Amino acid sequence: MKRYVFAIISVGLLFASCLKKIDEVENASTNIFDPNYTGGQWWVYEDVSLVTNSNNDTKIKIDILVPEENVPTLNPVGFSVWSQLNEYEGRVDSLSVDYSGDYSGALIYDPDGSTDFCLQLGIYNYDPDTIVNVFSECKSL
Amino acid sequence: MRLLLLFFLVNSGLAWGQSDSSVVKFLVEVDNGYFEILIDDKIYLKNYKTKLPPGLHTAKVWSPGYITNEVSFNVTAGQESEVHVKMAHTNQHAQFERDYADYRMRFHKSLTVPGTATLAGALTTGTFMMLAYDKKRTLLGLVDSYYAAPSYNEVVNYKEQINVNYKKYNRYRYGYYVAGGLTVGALITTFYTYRKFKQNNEEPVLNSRSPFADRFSWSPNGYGCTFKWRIG
Repeated sequence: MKRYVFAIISVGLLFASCLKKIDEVENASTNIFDPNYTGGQWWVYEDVSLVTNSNNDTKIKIDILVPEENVPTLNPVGFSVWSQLNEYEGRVDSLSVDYSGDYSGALIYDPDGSTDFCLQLGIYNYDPDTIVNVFSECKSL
Repeated sequence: MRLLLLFFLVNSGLAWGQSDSSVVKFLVEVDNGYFEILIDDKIYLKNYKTKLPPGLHTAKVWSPGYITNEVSFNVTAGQESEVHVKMAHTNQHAQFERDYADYRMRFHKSLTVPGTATLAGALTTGTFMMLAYDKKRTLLGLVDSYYAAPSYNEVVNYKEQINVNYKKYNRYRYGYYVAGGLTVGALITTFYTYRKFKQNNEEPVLNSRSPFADRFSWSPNGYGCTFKWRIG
């Protein structure tokens, strides 16, 4: 009788160990282009600074970086992002891959007298016109 | 002993080798394919054909479950004869048939039915398992494509495919668990019912002791003779 009980428990354990939920599928939500993205902030607010252009106009320069490891394995040459700084109107820019494999870009704005600059940045898709995975971060001059 | 055998061979060769023995075939109507024949209370035969000298002979024919039948037949020199023997079942055989049918029915209920259910369950479980593993392979490929996808639209497309396939995978997975559980249940039932069956039932046996059990005979033929002693 003990042998039968042992055999039944063994078979039960064997069954239970097969065909579980697939973790890779359950956790497949960290592509930054995913509208249901669940990863952390995928871009780095590197710096905010005042710069003077060739016309001697002072501008606010926001440097952003997207590390290579946060980008899909089939690395695109570049991709579009939507950004909004403080109360400025939101706009679409592009980030392109640099020599290190990271994606970097600079956003230029006219000064509005602020010293604190909060940037919202998300992935922009043209068709359909969609903005996803927006994160915000603030820095001061 | 050797001298005795030699005597039999030589004597029978001389006696029957030059006779007008004719072939006699016994066509015995039995459904078990087995019968024994005792010809003229001397020749014990377990096959359907022999050679006999011309004249009137008698044969007692017996088969397990049948009443021993005695027939007379005439053998004509140089002419093959066929003896049709109709056999009737014994009452004991009829009872045995009923008992055995009942025994088989109980056997089927105890082993064949749950065993078949177990087998069907195992096949179903195996099918679900194969389908699920195949779907899992597809899903892992789609997940790789998802992580590689460098645009919103591709990601949405891969996610949709992943969701559809994952639903199917889960259906197969649940099917596997349900069928597997039922199979284990059927297997336990099979063991239990068969064990009970073996404890409570004994296979009916037809008493098949031949009435010629203690007989021996020597059977002459065209080349000599055969000596037969019925053992068991």
